[in-house]
Amino acid sequence: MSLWTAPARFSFDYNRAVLHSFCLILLKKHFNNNVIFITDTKGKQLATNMGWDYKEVIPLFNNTDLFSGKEEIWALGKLLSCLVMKEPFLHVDNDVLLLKPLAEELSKAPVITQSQDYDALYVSPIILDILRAIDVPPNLPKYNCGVMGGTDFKFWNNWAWNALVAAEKCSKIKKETPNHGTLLSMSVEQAFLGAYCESVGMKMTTVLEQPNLQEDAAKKGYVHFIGTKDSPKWIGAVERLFQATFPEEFKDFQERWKRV
Amino acid sequence: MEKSLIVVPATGDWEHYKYCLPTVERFAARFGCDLHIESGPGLPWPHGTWLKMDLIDKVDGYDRVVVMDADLYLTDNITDEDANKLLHNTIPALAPDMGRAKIKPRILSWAKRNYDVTIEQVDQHYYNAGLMSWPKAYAKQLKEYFLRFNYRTNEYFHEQDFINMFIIDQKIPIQILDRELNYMGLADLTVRTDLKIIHFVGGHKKLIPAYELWQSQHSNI
Repeated sequence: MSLWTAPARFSFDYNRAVLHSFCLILLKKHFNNNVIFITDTKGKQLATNMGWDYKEVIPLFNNTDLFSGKEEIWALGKLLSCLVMKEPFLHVDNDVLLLKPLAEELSKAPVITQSQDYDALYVSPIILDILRAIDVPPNLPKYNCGVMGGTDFKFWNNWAWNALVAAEKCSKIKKETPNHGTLLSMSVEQAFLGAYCESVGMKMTTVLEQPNLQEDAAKKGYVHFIGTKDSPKWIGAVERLFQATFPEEFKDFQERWKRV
Repeated sequence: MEKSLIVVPATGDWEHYKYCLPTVERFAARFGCDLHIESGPGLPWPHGTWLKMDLIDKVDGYDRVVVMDADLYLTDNITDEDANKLLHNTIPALAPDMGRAKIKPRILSWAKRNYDVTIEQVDQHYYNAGLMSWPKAYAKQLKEYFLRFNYRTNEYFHEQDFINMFIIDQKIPIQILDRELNYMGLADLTVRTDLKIIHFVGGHKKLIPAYELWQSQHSNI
């Protein structure tokens, strides 16, 4: 998991805390406690305060030179995390719940992401301009990276490096909307990934056959809280499940949250 | 025994200096060269790259001057044989540019106007000025040619075209360096582990911290 707290988009409230905490506990269970956290000093402090018991906390993002002039592109933390991987890995967003372990064939795949993303998210003139600036044809698949990784960690190193080069290119594009950082992030992470796979001839394996389709997700025990983190209904469901499956940990989480 | 001086124009306060300059210092120490990093104000030209024309004067007392841009990142892949090409050469050593193929036409017009020379580009290499090794006699010849320069402040361009023009006009023999000694192709830096000197041209200097991070994590793979 990774967390870069510098972008303006970053926020840490109860909903995000409960998702992150539950996400981590599930990952520790599925991956035999072998979960690391790449973050910065503020993220490291959060980990301490919330009792997030990672195998290792790595404050990689403290070197702000890594992000110089590109602080709006909040996906950069994830790119850098993939750049430094030296073994097979799975990067999991902190709003993704793996309620079941990944199927074995997925665990052995060389390159895996959550799903293809909705094409409709990439049709505005602004995002098309960004894609043009980074030489990404608009008609290729885009991949939602709620999870990303696989056995071919070198693919991810190379993709991450090239995505950083692309991020450098589009960081100079004039901001025209309040969600400029999101459009840039979607372009250099999700859209660029599709183009990069095409350019190197890599076949992507996805956890879900379609983006976040509820039936598919429920069957596979995979939930990505895109756009639902502020929903009382969904967060209520997360709390109930968290409490039912890990009652001691949920109690600890609530006590820690009161103190934060 | 031959002595070489490495000169690095590094005026201003740029973030990439703290990543690149130590790699030059290590190279100088490893191969027994003197090193001069110019950090003060340069010549009153619109672009700092012209500072190189000032720095080649420091060749007095040396057999050659090696000019290195401050955005060169020297790796541990440099061998003794590579270093010899820069430090024991008898003719100037430069690498072909990986972007431009020719001198720009307006520079050729400027050359005609200021030097009364006509340059015809026919199948010559176009060299990158980021890494150049000039044996003393050739360094002096370049500086003398430069002093004839009738510079006007509305003529804003970099020194690289000027140096290529000098090479063609004065028929300077060049030892062509391998691309790996002045590599400007950024896309494959995590794939090409054989690169020796990486040149982070233009805006790509901001990627140097990430490259160094990748290197530090993967040096043993």
